[in-house]
Amino acid sequence: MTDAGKVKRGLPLDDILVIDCHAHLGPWAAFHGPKETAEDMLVNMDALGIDAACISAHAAIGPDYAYGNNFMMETVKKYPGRFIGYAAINPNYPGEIRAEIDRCLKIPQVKGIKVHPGFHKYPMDHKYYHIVYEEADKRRCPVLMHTWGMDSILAVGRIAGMYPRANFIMGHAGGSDIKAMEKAVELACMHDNLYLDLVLSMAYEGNVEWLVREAGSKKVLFGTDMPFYDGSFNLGRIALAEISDDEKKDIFGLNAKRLLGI
Amino acid sequence: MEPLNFFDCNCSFGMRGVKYPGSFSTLDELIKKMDNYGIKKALVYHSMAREYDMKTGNKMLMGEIAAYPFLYPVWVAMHHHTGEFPAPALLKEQLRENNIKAVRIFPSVSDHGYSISGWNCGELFDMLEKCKIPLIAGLDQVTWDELHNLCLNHPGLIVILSDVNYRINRNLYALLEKFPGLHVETSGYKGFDGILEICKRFGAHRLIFGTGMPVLSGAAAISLIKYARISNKEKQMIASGNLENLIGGIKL
Repeated sequence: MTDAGKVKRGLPLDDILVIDCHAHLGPWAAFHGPKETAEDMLVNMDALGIDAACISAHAAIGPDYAYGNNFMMETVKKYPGRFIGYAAINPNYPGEIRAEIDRCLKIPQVKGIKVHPGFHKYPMDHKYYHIVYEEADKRRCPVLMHTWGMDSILAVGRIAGMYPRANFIMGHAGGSDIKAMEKAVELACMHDNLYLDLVLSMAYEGNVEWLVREAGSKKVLFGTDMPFYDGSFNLGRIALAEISDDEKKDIFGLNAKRLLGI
Repeated sequence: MEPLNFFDCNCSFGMRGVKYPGSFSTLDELIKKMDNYGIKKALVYHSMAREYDMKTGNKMLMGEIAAYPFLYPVWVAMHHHTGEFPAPALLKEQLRENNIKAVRIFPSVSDHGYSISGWNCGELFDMLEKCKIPLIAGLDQVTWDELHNLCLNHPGLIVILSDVNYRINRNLYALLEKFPGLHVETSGYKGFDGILEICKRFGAHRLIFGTGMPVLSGAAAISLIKYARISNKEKQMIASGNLENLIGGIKL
């Protein structure tokens, strides 16, 4: 049965590799979500056929990076193979960035770094974030960046050129501003180490087909943003997209596997 | 699992000022997408009624969908005080003559720009309430307080709150507790297990399937229901049964 056929029957995509490149963990201050634990997420992942989810803790992209990263590390150790960690870094504590990256990436299940300039109120290309990019370049690891709007996308374009051995995932592909997304696509085509993820609460009709047509399936990754959103709606819009089965395989898992080195 | 017969309460077609890459605008394309996603019926409005002129767009709607019995007309409406739109008594007759199944409003400043308070729209809402015609209003169009007052002043009015998002439970739950006539359209309600939680707390009858096409993804919308951790009976209610019941109760 095809991926589309399975989605139309509400069945898990259990015969292809599915890696969620963009998920989180734990509660969030700004709104109520009915479910938020790793165990809740595993139930959803099993129902959808998601083999593994790459997580950063909400606490870490919010107020307390160490508390959140500890939570993330406990989770990836508890569920090896199902969760892969991102060390979340806060540039408001610049003196601790290198040590925190080192502390987290010593754990084999932690494979990348997460930056969230929107919450931490620093521009994406601030000098303190460059500490992160230097480390990622040195370690050849992926950096998941929360991109929202044109300014952040233009900054990522500059950063990608400066650190060619790191891979940068533009989380949300620039966000709901379609002009920022167009620029993100343009930059992904220019830089071998720049990728787009499909985590969008405003899931536009025809968006997957357009991104694949413009940037190619090797540059687009599946993500869910769990436990903010349910994983189903982003899974469904890829599975039902009018693109080839091979392109779906790239997006669902093969690209993330390559970037994570697993 | 039995196949779900989706009935979309939130879609449109026609030219729009802003069209995102990959999206579409024609009725033919909407029908093709519905077929691809397994959507059997739809309540549909014309984007010209939102973005250009209500009466022109509503008229275009009636002409274009006439050949498609699985498409049900939704008129974009407003109050009558400026003379741009018929007074409620005449509007009621027109709704009946044209077999209109729901009325949609776009009162926000960025759309049609009017207050939905009782002093402005009370007569319109009185008529819709009496006739049991569902009123569709987006969360991008009304504030929580406006929605509260609308439901408070018109307890028999069937309200479908569309174009919601996943961050609304701290306001939504209180209104669902207080007002049984309030329903939520599902396309934007993407919160993790959000549909499951609404079904547990308030019942599946409060949710109405919608896609938001052609702006939002129909694939995403059906997947939310297909994979929701609720019974097949509840899925069928959300997919189509609830909306069938609502429009079956119209008294024109």
